[in-house]
Order: sequence, then C-alpha cells, then structure tokens
Amino acid sequence: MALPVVALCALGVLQLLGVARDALLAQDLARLGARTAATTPSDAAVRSAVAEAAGPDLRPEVRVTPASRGRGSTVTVTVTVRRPGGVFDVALTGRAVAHGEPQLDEADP
Amino acid sequence: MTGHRPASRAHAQRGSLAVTQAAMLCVALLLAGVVVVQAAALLHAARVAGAAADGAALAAVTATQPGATTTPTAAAGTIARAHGADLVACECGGPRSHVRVSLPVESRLLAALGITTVRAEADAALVEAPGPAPTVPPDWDLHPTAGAPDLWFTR
Repeated sequence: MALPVVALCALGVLQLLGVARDALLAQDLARLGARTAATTPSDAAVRSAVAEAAGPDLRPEVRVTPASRGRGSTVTVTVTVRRPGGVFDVALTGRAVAHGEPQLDEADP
Repeated sequence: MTGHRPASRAHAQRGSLAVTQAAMLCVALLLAGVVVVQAAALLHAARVAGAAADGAALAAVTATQPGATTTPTAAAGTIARAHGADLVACECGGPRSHVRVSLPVESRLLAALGITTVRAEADAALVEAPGPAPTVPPDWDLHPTAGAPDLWFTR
C-alpha cells in the first residue's frame, strides 16, 4: 500500500517543482518585459521580447500598463504563463516595474 | 471457534499497524508539501527582490542623468515599493548606484514558532557607462587608445 502512495507523492512533488519553476520563469519574463518597456515605447516590442525568451512551449500573456509611457514614468509589466498537460493547471503570474529611461522620449512609438 | 481468536487478534493488530503507518505517512506527506510550498515561495520572493533591486539601481542611475525629474533615491524607492519591497540602503547620486532592498514574505511554515514574516534581501550595483558600450570582447586583440579613459579600448 505504501509504495503507490510514495510514488503518487513523488509525482506530486515533481509537479509542484514544475509549478515553482514556471513561477520563477514568469517572474523572469516580467523582469525582461519591464526592462524592454523602460527603453521602448512599443508594447509589441515588449510582447515580442517576452515571447522570444519564453520559447515555443509557453504562450505568455503580457500586459503593459500604462499603455503610453515616457521618461521618468513608471511602467508595470505583468506576465501570465500557463503550462498545459500537468496535474496542476494553474496560471502563474510574474510582475515587474521599471522606470522609464531617456530612450523613451527619443524613440518613435 | 476458540482457535480463531489468536488469528483474529493478530489480524486486528496488523490492521491497527497499517492505519498508524498510513497516518504517519499522511503527516509526512503534508509536512513535505508545506516545506515545498514554503521553499518555493521564498525562492520566488528572492527572485522578486532581485528584480526590485535591479530595477531600483537602474532607476537611480537613470535619475542622475541630465533632465531627470526626480532624485535617485526617490526613483529607487518608487521602484522598490512597486515590487512590494522596502528600500533598505541606497548609495545613489553619483555614477555608481548601490541599492539594497528587503521584501517581506509571509511564513506559513515557521508561524508555529512565532515567526510570521521572513525577509528576502537583494543587492544591486550599477555604474553609469560614460559612452556607448564596447562592441568587441575586452580580451580580444585590444590596445588602449591614447587619451581615452582606461575602460575604453579599440582594436
């Protein structure tokens, strides 16, 4: 009786570790998105940078607020990732905030 | 019938033992789950604190540039607070910014010991670049340029 329970437990722990890994990944993607948003006025560039870093398996949802930003303003990037196929189908969110840099005023949106 | 009693007692004892073992296993699994969740929460908090420190240091360096509308310390504090962290130290204002942030994390595992909050701390230091970033690796066929700062080299 104990062996199946232990195997199930090991599977659960592995799934939990996968969820933890995705949570860290979401945070890293948000950090990358915030860094991009601090230097680029285009939201599409932020989404593209995040999608490229996430790889083909993850389809991250990216939200950039506020939509328009300038030098000195604060921009927040929220990234939500969802990895299908696991026992736990949870949406994991990472959030990062950055300070608008001078390039924002120099670049065209 | 009397011959069945010892066998029945042994069977009952085995059943009791199995229930005890199952209960202990459940408690162990529960504890393991709590530990994994708490460790993951702390790891995540450390990562958020790192992002907050990096962002704060970057904001502080940006705020030293001409035309900035805020002070480096205020900019760093804004970014740290936006991540839910406190700005513990900020050596800002010059070309080098060094910040330390502290992020409180709710502790479920240690709550029984009276420790309800654990703090994740992170440091970040940035030096403002005096010009465009070099495009060649620093150890590849480089020679100092006469009259230029020591940092900058050309092929």
